[in-house]
Amino acid sequence: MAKRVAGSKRYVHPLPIEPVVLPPLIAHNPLSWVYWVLAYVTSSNQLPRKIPLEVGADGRYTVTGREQMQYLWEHGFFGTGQLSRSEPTWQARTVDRLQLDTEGIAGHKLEQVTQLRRKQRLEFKRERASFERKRLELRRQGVLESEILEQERLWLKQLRDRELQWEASTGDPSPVRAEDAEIIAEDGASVLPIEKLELMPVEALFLTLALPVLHADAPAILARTLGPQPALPQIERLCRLYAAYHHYRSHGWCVRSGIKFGCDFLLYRRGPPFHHAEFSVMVLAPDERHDYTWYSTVARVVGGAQKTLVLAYVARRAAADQLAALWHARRYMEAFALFEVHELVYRRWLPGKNRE
Amino acid sequence: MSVSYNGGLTGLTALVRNNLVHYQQWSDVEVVPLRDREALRGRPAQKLSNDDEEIGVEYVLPVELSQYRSSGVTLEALDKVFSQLPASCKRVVLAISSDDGTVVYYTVYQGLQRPRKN
Repeated sequence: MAKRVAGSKRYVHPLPIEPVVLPPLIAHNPLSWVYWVLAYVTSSNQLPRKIPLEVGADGRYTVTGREQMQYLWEHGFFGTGQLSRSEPTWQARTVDRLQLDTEGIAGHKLEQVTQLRRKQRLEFKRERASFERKRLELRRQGVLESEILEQERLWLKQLRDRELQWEASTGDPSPVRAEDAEIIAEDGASVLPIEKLELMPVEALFLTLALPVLHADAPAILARTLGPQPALPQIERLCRLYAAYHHYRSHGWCVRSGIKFGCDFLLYRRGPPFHHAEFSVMVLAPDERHDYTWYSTVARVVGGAQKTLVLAYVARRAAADQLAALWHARRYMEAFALFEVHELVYRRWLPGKNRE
Repeated sequence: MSVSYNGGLTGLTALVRNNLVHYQQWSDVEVVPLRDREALRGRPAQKLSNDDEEIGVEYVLPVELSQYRSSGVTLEALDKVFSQLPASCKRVVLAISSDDGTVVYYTVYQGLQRPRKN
């Protein structure tokens, strides 16, 4: 896991496109020209193999496989780990939690426990030896056998109490919960990769149509999201979301879901590891109207997280018929291009604080 | 390669169940079948609110964000849910799943509830 690699090194490419690196061209060395031309012709910045997109029966778009999830995360922060805050780190976190590194389940912990148990056993043997000496002494003195038995019971109880105390002070030494049985591989030394990277529908479309790195079928994605016979308002809503998403991506922003702050998108200058998101975007139709509480609720949640609320009004520049025609002809990029984005910033103004 | 554990559950319930068990580290999570939907029950790893005396059994209601938006979560709907849960259950945790793979949790109390101490 590239966990300790510095952010600026790990996240060199803001999008899943890597520029072709050409060899140096030396003017007085014709051999270098040949080499350069050869490199120019043969090299490509296409992915050697597209990343397969899985479309679940529940309409979720997921990518699996550690390397593929990592690729999409490192090239523009696409997708969210289903069991993580954003970057799919569940596997590494769980291996850490279960201390599975090399020695198998709870490797170090188990060793510690063995050592402690051995120490306990030694101590018990010492205690037992000293009690046996005491019993012999008592017998020699002619003490009744029932009295000796009573003494033995007392001694055993003392030992048990001490042991209980020891167990309470060290707590449960195992980090493995009963629930973990279903995620630990049969060899007992690794965690099953149950985490998937989930893409928003607009992300899946962007990575299929605009920057084709996914092995996916756009009509299939759209049919899953909108159903087989979508009504025009549904199509328009998706077009607006996509147009806004593509608009901010092409202006160099890292766009992620705004679910945690009750809005449509969050805009990051570079990406989540570098800074907090500065802007929260709510995607609206130009004629969309809400009562005042709606705006104030959205703004208070966003303002509470030190972000600026952007109302993105996405307008359709052509007649609805034209959109429907392009859509049914599956000319999706042309359909999306019928929309344009106009922004408005909504800010709560506090006379006591906002003097400048 | 990926493996998923559904334990016979489908879709939303399985997603929220896995999130609770393997991300939020809840224990004893099981499905509570209701008349027309499914809820979950389990023990959180930490107290859900500072006002709680101790960790107890919590009830979780999985909801799709689209359901939430189209007013699938109304007072009537929640009343119906509460009426099918034990009388001791005073709150339900809404597990809202969005289209980006995130599950966000919100607590809904029955009746009036003092704002929680932070």
